Amino acid sequence: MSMNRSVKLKPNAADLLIVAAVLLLAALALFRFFPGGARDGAQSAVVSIDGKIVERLPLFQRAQRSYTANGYTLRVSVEDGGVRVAQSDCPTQDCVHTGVISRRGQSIVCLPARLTVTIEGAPDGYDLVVGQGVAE
Amino acid sequence: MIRRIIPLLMACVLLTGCAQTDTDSSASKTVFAMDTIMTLTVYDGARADALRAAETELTRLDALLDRAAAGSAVYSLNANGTVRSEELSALLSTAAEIARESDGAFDPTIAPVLALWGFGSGNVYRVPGQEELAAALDTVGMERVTISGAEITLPEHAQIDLGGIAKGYAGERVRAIFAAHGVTSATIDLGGDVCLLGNKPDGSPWRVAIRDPADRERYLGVLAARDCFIVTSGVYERFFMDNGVCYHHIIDPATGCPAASGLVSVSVVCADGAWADALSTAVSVLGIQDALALRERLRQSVPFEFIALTSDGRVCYTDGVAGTFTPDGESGYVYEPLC
Repeated sequence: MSMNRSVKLKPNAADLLIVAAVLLLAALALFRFFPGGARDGAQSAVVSIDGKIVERLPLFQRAQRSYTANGYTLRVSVEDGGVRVAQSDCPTQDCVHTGVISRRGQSIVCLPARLTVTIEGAPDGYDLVVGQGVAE
Repeated sequence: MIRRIIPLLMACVLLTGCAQTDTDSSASKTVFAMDTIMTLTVYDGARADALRAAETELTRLDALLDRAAAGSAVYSLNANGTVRSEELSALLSTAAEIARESDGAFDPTIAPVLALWGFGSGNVYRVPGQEELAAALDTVGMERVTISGAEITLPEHAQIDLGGIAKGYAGERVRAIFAAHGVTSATIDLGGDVCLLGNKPDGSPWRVAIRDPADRERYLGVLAARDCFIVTSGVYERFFMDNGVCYHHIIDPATGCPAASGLVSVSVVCADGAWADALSTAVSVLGIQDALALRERLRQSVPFEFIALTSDGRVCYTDGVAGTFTPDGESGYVYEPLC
């Protein structure tokens, strides 16, 4: 009798399937909501033209922006916690090919337009940063 | 099988529950004003109207207070020695009060001395000579500015620069506009200084990281705060080297030279924006001991706290933030609560 019960408690294939499904969902959810390992919306994409910052876009918020610089127009898109150059009429297209960036320190550079997008931000779990008023 | 599916569904519900964010309920705007990039983010109330009104107000204040803009009230005051403006008069009265309380450590009439060093707009950095410095220092003294109703009059050769108080005042104005639009949760990033309105949408305090001036990727710590301004002044913001000596932009009005208080960075926490802004300069000039005395004098009228990084690698913070400031263990600094 007791032997039978312990046999029943042994995990079978269906149990493993469920465990695998839950883990997969958890991983997907993490990837979806915390791309790049950020834990909240503290990071922002800093857009600079000719070395001068023109805009800071918070990464937690969808945004579409167009920038015209040195004769080229780039469309920058913020979504799902990352930023990319969605479209550009520059000849090299390196900026578009860089794809999505979402981690602090990563950057997209468009040399023809002399436009850069870098990820700047507070460490995970912070909302705002003070003391960044270094001459830029 | 049902018994196995239910936990799976429950797990899914839990996962989505955790991932719920407030991203859809916030609205933000970037505004170029006062030589910096300001980011306004509101989480409730009449968000779009609040942001529009705030931008209009910031543009108006820029036109009023920018000493370099011909036609601004401050420009007229400097050019003609007198101007009529109720708003400027009120702001200068506050500035005069802070100058008095801080024994002149904060003084907007320091402008001619700043210009000598090249810290004015468009000037070239240089170490001024003794005589010209003495002459410029003679024009300094907020107590000699006459404020009578809306009428402001400067003594001869005196010049005003509100760079050390205007941003905080602007934040104060934006906060009032937000409140009038029913906003109870918002952040105003004034380009490295912040104003916090209420709590975060989830009811918890905002978490504000204080950047380590020695390394942009590092932090002195994080402060949990609500309904206050946090303004940082640092000698690293503007400086130049001459013959191996570093000259920074926080000029001590007592000497006319870069303050030698031993403080690298000062973050002031205060409920009032103009005071927070001006006090961050005053504390930088005064140094820890005199700043503590100033804090004691203002305990009843304008209570404030500060977190300061010293040039010998200590992070000193006042007892009012001892419970809310979390030092960053990896910063390599020594943390020292002040009593």
